Amino acid sequence: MTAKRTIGIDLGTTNSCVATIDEDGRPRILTNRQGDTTTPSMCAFVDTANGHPLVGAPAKRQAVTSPKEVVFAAKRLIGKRYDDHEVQELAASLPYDVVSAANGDAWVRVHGMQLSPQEISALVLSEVRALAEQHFGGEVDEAIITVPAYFDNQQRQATKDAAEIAGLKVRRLLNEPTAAALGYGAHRGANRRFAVCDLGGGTFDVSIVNVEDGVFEVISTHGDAFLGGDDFDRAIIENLAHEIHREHGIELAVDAQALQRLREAAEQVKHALSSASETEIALPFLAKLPSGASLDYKRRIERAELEFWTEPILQRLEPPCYECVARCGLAARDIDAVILVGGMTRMPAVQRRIEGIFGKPPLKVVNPDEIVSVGAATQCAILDGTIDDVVLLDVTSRALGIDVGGGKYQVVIPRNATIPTREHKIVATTENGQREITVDVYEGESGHIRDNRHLGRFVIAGLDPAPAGDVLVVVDFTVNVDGLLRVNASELGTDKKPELRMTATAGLTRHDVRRLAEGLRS
Amino acid sequence: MSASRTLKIRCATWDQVEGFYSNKIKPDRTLVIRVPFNPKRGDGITLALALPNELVMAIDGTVEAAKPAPDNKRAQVKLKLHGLTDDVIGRLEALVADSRGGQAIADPFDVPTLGTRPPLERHNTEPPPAEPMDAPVDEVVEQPGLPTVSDVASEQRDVFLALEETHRTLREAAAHDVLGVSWDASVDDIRRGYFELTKQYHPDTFAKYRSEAVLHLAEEVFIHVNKAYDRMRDAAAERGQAIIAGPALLAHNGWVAGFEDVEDTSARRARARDTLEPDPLAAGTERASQDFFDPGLQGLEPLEVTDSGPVTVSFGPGEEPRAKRNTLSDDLFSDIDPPSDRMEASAVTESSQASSLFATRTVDKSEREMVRQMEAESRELIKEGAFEQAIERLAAALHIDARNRPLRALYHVANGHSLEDKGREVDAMTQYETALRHDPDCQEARAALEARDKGRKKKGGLFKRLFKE
Repeated sequence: MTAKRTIGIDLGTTNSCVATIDEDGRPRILTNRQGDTTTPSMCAFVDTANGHPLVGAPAKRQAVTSPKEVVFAAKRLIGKRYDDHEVQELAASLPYDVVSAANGDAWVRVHGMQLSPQEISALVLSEVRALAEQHFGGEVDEAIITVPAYFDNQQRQATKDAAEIAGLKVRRLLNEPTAAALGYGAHRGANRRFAVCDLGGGTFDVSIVNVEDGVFEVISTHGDAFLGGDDFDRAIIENLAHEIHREHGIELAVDAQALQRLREAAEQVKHALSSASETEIALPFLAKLPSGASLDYKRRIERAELEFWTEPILQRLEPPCYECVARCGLAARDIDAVILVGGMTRMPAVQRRIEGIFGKPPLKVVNPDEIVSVGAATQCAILDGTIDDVVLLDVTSRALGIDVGGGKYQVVIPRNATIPTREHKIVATTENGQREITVDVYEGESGHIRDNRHLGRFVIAGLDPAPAGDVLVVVDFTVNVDGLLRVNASELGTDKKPELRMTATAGLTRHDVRRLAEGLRS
Repeated sequence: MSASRTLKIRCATWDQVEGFYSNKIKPDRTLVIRVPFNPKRGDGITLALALPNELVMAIDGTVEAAKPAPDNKRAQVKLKLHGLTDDVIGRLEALVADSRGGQAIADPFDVPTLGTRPPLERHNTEPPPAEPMDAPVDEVVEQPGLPTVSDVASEQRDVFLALEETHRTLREAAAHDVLGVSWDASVDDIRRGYFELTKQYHPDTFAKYRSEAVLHLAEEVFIHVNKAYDRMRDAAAERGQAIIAGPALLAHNGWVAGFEDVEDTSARRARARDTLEPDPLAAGTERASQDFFDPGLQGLEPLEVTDSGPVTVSFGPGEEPRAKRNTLSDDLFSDIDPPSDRMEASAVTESSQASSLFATRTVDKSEREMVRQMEAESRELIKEGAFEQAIERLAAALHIDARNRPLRALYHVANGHSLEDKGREVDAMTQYETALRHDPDCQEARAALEARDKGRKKKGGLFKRLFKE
């Protein structure tokens, strides 16, 4: 086999999934050593025989005993700043330490060792890469990785860096809703407008995907960054713990061990009640009663009970859906079909709620966990030319602009521009004999600098000394198909290309990525 | 969002650049241009003059006057270019001279006539102090240029060359031309045109070649397609036709204007004549579409040749080109921007004189005979290979009978041959294709195109696609 193998990876917050297209053109989801199709996106930095961290299901098992050493949900930190309010909120609820890196990025600290979320994701990616290599019996070094549609430039770049550290060349970063529609096989059907509702471990994302003549467009995307399976688990735990407190007078919240057992049981209950109408929970020796005897906890839980407990969470599904539809000037009835993604959408109450919003039953998807990776694998086939007449279009999720001095900001590339795209700005020197021009790139639409997010600083250097304003530099901003920004500078009126440097303000440098990749290989 | 716009003007050839500053700009540094949006008086518009060597000159301007264009669909704008200083013109002239292979000027900023630069202050030229050792290390950003055919493996050369040609073509075209639709096309047409191009040029469709260079070029091509689409989307939204089934809209800055959107004297004169002389061929939509399907050719319009005067044609009384140009353009804006009393009076008389001239200007029998004779002579000249003479002869004939389409086609053929002689094959190709657009039966153009096709493998460029229509 001389052809290069490309795999499609759904790098999820809680679970990751890898798929490929078989020789006969059918998608195949690869199973891991445990026989599961999904691999938990977790790494455990515990003492192991070979000194390597545990990744996947073995890492998840460590979560009970050593919560501070198990890192998960790296996807929610990747490419983010430590002082971001979302990161602050998240750090409070995560059992492991989130710290600020030298350049202000959010990193994690385990055993006094600082790790970037990119490295954590790289470990997960090399684990699924190993799965694929086992399946093919040969090297796999190319991948298509999915990212949420709202991921910004930094988050996309960081995801790409993670793949590079794992030794994978990213052929494309694919938007998850597009991948879901593709995984559903929308390219084979008629022109339709899909709503893709992705309720995962920690986030709820709604996107509208328009499929017209084989052209896929994400036309709107919205979501709730703090709504997911975890909230359902928490609702179950809280209700059970409250009940135990009332009946036996013991506070479980102070007993970390008991709480972790209850958490696992809650997850099982949630899964079981998706198909059965009632289930039993049995936790022997859960805690010590005030009397000194141990509590053997046993309880039957009905589906209706679960739905009653989670009603407030279910209600929160509605606003993002309506908002998302309204943002592209549509009404809920204009949606032709609804695709559900993410394990949480197996819950009948969730399905009913979404059916209520869009007025039509969601499409039957056999496995909502795997559909995104199937879409990514399908995109591999598109890139290889096996599937033609299908094109996935993307737009910029946020506006990009630059500091034009005096605290003012000007948008260079607007939001929703079709990518790849390019715009230019002309900047001039402001002082006599100025040799360098600094350009600060921001993300956002507000006219004031302080309301926008700083992306990076570019320094245009090596300019010839000349009177102020005499040197004009054209700065080209290109956003490529992956949604990544590239900057070019050329001196106006001459063929000269000034030197362009990017100062280390965010993300990993190329040097870091290469160093980490070498570290991981050895 | 209409506070400041960038209006991009692409000049495909250095001839056009020269045409820009010598013919299109009036002595008071104003410019009349048709634009597809509605600017207000006092709005800032920056002209981004894209030069053939991929450089962009930014020229700041302010809207002095605006009114609906004669076709009542777009706005006609009088732009005062305060950014167009002698300095800028000097640079442009230097670049044009450079391209002509004349006196090579390495750095157009160092043209001696621009010697107004104050002496540099010494202390500012010193290099900045060294950074401390522990400062974060800056990353040097690589700036790859456009790939060339030598970057590509031999089996992908054909794909690459086809892309390269498309890229060149798209660079010259206005937004609607890129999409292959008319400039006031409906939303559905815009989308259809865009989707078709998407399937043809999206970088994903070139991924199978696994070549960085091909992918890079495909991205460059698709950037043009996308930008054209975004602009057309915006224009449609501004007309109140929102694209529902597309991303929510936000105004994009700038508009890709074709070079032909800039008024020049000859075009205006031709239109003045059209309005006075009802002619189904030249009126209304036909006129507009002809204008638009002529991207990048106005620099070579025959009527401009008469302006610069190498053709021996006798002008009628009062028809000196320069006087007429000023009259007509002032007349165009007299309702908004009244000149001084004396000027106004003279303008009125002159313009009425001019219109009467135009009104009587029909091609009479003897003239028709003369034109026919000139056409036959030119055909002979083309056969003999004396293209330059043929061009002159045809330009003269066209001056008499401006809307003779076969004649115009022949003019483009002669031009094409002459360009081919100079080795500018792509430009020549465009000339032949334009000839065919004027006159689909033009044997000479067909023959020339076939001859070129034989010499080279066939490629499905954008023009071919446009042609099928």
